[in-house]
Amino acid sequence: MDRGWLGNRPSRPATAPPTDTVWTVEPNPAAAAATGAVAADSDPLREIVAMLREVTGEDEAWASRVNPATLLDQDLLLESFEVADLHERMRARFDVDLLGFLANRDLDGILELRVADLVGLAVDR
Amino acid sequence: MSRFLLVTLPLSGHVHPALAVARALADQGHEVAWAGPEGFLRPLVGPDAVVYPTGLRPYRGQRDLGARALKAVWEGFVVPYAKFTLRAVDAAVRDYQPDAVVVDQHACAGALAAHRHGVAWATLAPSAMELTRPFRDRPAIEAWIHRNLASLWAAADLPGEPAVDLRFSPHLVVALTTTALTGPVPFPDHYALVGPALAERPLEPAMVRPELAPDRTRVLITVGTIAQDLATGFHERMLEALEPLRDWVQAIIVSAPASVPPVPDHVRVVPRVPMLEVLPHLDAVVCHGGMNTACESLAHGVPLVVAPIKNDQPIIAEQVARSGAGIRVSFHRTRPAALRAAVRAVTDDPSYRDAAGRIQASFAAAGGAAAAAKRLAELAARSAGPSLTP
Repeated sequence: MDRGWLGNRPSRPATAPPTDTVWTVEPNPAAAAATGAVAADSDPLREIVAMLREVTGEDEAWASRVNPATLLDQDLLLESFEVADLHERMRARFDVDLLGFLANRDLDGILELRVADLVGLAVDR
Repeated sequence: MSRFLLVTLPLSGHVHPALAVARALADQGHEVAWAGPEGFLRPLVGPDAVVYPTGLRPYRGQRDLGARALKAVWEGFVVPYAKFTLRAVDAAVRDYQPDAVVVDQHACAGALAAHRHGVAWATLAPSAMELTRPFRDRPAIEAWIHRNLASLWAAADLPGEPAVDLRFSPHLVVALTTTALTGPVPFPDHYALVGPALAERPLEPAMVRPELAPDRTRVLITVGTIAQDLATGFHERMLEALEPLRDWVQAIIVSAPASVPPVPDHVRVVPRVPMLEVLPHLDAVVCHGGMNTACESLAHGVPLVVAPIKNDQPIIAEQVARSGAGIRVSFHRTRPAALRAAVRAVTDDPSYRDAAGRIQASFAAAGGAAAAAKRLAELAARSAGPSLTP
């Protein structure tokens, strides 16, 4: 009966992952290379997805559908208190300033943010 | 006695509190006229009210969510609506010669017209969208809002940069909340936080007084007037959440029947309810965090589960959660088990009702529509001479 996190959205299609790269939340060298990961064993993507799962109170099934191409605003519908929670977690783990990163983005800039951008912020610190 | 022109928007959540304020002004002996779309206003204000029609046209983006919804509010509605109505509102101010114009916070044509004619104007803020400056840590978004306001200033042929923030009158801002809900925000002195302006809607044919089960915990579920098509999935999850509670809960879902699946015996689906009549009999309200529904519930001390969809609703949800008067859940995501836990918590744990009771008391003390009318009358009296320059 419950159709999960994409179930209630209007008819706009979910963002498809880029067709030239297979993104998963499993350790993936292609993902690491494309997001500029510096250490293959640190797997910041996996950590970011786990943080997203925690701030949204979601489960593994939800997390398994989150990939680097997932849009933070239109796909995950993250709310500001969840972003604030994510900011604290990313600061503690990666010593980065997510709210500062978002502060000077206009709405178009917010709309185009993907999970990959969070990974980029984490690894570029 | 003073004359007031109310400039409003064709949105029921905005017009109903304005109606309550207009009635209070009339009760205190003042004269009131309206500027807005007549087709929308006339059935609400009655055949004898003075309405300066502004026309109405469709606006886009009403199904959008998240940042796209905020974009749609300004670029798809506030700005084009103000431009579309500017000439008519300006003519209304000229013709009616009000002592003060009461401007819905997002009906910027009223602010422009009042400013242009040197008439005192007050902002009426029926939503939580601007009041607490929710984007103060997002300067790029605030700058974009100011660009939208500047485009309206220019469209009204006013010179230079905006001399005032069209969302916040420099004379008087009437906000339909209190700091018991917003939290301790240092508002300027010309802000009057009067609490919700409550007035029962006229009983329309679609309104149903639901039969209340005497021995059950009564929970009303409503996700507002503009979100019915988004509501189906939420209703499905709520029904699943309430199923194990069927022996002691009565659920009343306010919705178009089409967006609710078939329901069991302990659930009633009604298209509309007379909220103020029903609220004293409720144990909890599950809602989307529309300002009216949330504040009407809190005004009756009823605790909330808030599942915000968009716009100012996440702000209301945050305020309710912080105040302790309810629990925030995700409209789009929260699963039945967590929805059930939230409903159980606000009905079982007296701390939620206690916190809602504190907000109820603060709303009652703030005075509502009558207090709003009093502050507006003071503004009009103050500006009756020609001395007030905007």
